Amino acid sequence: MKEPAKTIEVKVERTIQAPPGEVFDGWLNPKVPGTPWHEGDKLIFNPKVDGLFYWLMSGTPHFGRFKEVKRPARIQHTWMSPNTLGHESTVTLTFEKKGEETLLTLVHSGLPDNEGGKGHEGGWNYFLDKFYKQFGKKADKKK
Amino acid sequence: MNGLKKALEFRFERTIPASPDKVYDAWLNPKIPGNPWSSVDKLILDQKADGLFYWRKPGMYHYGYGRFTKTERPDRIQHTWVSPDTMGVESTVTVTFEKQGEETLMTLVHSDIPDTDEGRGFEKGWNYFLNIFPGQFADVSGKKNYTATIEVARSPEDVFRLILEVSKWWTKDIEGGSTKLNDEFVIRHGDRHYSKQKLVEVVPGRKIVWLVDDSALNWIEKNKSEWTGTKLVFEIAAKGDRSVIHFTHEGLIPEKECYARCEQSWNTVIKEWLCNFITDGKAI
Repeated sequence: MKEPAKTIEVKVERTIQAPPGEVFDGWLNPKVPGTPWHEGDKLIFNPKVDGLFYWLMSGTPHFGRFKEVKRPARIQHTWMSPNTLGHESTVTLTFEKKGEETLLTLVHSGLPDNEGGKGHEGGWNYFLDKFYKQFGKKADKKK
Repeated sequence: MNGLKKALEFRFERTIPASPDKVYDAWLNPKIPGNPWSSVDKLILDQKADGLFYWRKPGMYHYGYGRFTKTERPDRIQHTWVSPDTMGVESTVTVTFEKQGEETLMTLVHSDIPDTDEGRGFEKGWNYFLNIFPGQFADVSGKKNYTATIEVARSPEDVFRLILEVSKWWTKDIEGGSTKLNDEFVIRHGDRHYSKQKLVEVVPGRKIVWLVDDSALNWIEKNKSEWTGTKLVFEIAAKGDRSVIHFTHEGLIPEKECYARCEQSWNTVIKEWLCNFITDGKAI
């Protein structure tokens, strides 16, 4: 049996112009641009506790298992791909009400301490920038 | 990661005494020992095309995911297999079931495995499962298992307790525990016989079942692991103030190469050694 390898954690935050329930629902809706589920070559997606997902992105397979789905506050699931070396890492999202906005915090822990693991920081920033803009647009239209 | 070499492929064949549809269904049934979904701690399994699965066993890196790509009953099952041992790469498992008279030729091919130490470990892993799986069909095929029945002047409770003292009536060369559920013990007769038994059913005063989950009968020519996947079953019943012990070696059938010698040995071990030990307390 292998020894546990050293792992790193990535944390990304965005304040989004919508209430937590709306942001939570948006994150689990593959039709919403900026969620990882929106992009990619193939998606099998069952976002409930002990539901599994498969997401093929640029030829890279990702698998995971939902552990917590607590609307509107928290989502947790595992995340496994060649970039985690096939090890289960953990993605935790929290949705915190800030006045009329929501602080979305995404923590990806248990990542290998190598290029593939570190690359997740850029990946999540890419998605959260896009996700943020979906709500920004809507807010702008309302004005 | 895309530069990772995908080089290994392993192929296994087993002839199973049942029809292709029965073998196909058993391979996807987590309750049948010998398929990869059995004996796991946690299982999520959706056996249809584009269905996903997840399994976990005790141990830090003992888990995996996969995706069914073909479920063509009774001919073919194909799914991907992803785990720390594939380094997260989707390897492919293809199982085909081909009718051969009244039997089924089952072929399992595991391809696209990264060429690493862990990847090479799949060969041993699949052999472990595939040595247990065919034994699950011995009963339904209607073939005759070895059995022996003895009657002794002791109560079922005494008989139950004495059978568990394996070193007193089978062999002194025993390692491990043999008294509680999930206990495992190894029996050796020099280099000729090795078998590892696990207690899979223990009903005080009534029944004891051992599953042989590994074996090497080095004195036979072809399949030295003929015992693997077979079960040793002791059923105890009261008869007045005496007890009847019905012993069955499930999967030890006359078609097996080891049958004749094993039959002789069991006749001695059960009808003489076990019987003497229970009756007079006389250990071997």
